[in-house]
Amino acid sequence: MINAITRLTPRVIAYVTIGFAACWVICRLISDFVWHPNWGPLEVAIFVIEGVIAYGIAMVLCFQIAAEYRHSYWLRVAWLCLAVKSGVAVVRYALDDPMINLIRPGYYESPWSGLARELPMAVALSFLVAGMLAMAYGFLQMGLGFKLERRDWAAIAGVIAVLIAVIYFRQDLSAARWKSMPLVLQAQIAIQILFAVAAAISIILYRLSLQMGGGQLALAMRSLIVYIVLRSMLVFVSMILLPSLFRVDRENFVTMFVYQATPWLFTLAAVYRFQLASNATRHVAAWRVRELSAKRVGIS
Amino acid sequence: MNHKYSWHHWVDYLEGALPEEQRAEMEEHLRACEECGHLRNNVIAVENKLQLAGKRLRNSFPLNQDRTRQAVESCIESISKTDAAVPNSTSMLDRLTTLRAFMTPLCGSGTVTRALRAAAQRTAVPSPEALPEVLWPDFMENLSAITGVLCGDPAAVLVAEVGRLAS
Repeated sequence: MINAITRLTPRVIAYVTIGFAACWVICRLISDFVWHPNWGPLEVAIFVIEGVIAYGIAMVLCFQIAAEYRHSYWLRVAWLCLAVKSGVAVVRYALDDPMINLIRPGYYESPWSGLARELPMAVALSFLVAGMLAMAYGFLQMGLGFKLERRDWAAIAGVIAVLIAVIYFRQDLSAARWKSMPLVLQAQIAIQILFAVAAAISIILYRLSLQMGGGQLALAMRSLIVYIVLRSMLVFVSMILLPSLFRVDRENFVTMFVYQATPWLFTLAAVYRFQLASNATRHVAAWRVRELSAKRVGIS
Repeated sequence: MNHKYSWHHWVDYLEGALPEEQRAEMEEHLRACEECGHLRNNVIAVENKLQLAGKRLRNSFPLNQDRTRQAVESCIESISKTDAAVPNSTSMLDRLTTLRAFMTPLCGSGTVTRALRAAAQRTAVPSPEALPEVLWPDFMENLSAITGVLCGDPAAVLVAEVGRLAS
């Protein structure tokens, strides 16, 4: 199983994402015309399955990547944090399954499902932020001349300003409906703050990836950045502009469609990084074969 | 009697390289001069003996087609062994180009430039281009360590391998 996961390529991830997106659209159509609304939205079941698979794959790869960094403390910590984030996300997705309604009727609408969704998400995001911070610090303290520019600090300040404005002007959060369990609402607020912090750190990672001048390492970082930016944007859109659309108004097709695809971006980041070593090995093997062939031709 | 002929004349005469007019003049002298005639007869006799001895020596090592081919093959083999024993020293610039070509798809051109420079500085050299041959192993050790921190241990091992192959 682990061997199969380590052979995944970005192309395979792209095909799987498209496949799940198609399944999600079909499920949504079935949900609209056939499925009983009391059983929970059917397309969310697909969303849960692909979340579990995507983050499960990412978790395995992140642990493998962390094991490669035996001589780099901060990057090992970074990938371990991302692995734990993936693991917590798997649990969170599993507990967010509306199909649990079939076993425990009313679960999906209860505060417990809210707690099972928001609390692990806050924990996962904490690990994501820790992982990104460790990654950024790891690259900056290497002594290779990676450094931030003034405009990066300005952009980080901008993100923080947006966060403060959003918290000030935000409408009621979806967790506000569960007044009996204030922890859910607190977790949801924490999630939004953590997303903003992650977006701010992604500015640092973006600058580093630019200074790298391409390569698979930069590709992995950019995939992670796109993942965070997309998720943060969805969260902030839901808070400011369309607070009622998430989970309540199922007509919001585009937003949910983007949301269901985002876990694969995180997996893609792990795949890009994991492939670095295997690609390099293939490169060296091909080179040695060429060298040996050239020697044989030279003798004959 | 005129003994005016130098050793150059003698050599040209014996090899048949003297112009016709000089040759006729010299033969007339050799017929008339007993001393020079005797010298000519001795030289020709020694030359004949040497040619006979050479012929006998050549015939004592008869080489058929198979033995000739074997001899050629063994000669080529010994040459290739000698080539393998002597390190094929590639220029420093070529080695750095090879390393760049290998590392750029992994961690980007910007990172490679920084890593090469840092590895050179850790080897007490201002830039990788100024690296002397003798410091190449130390430079590669430093570069491999930097790669390990950047891209992990497997990539570091491969960079060390590429450095070895490139040199």
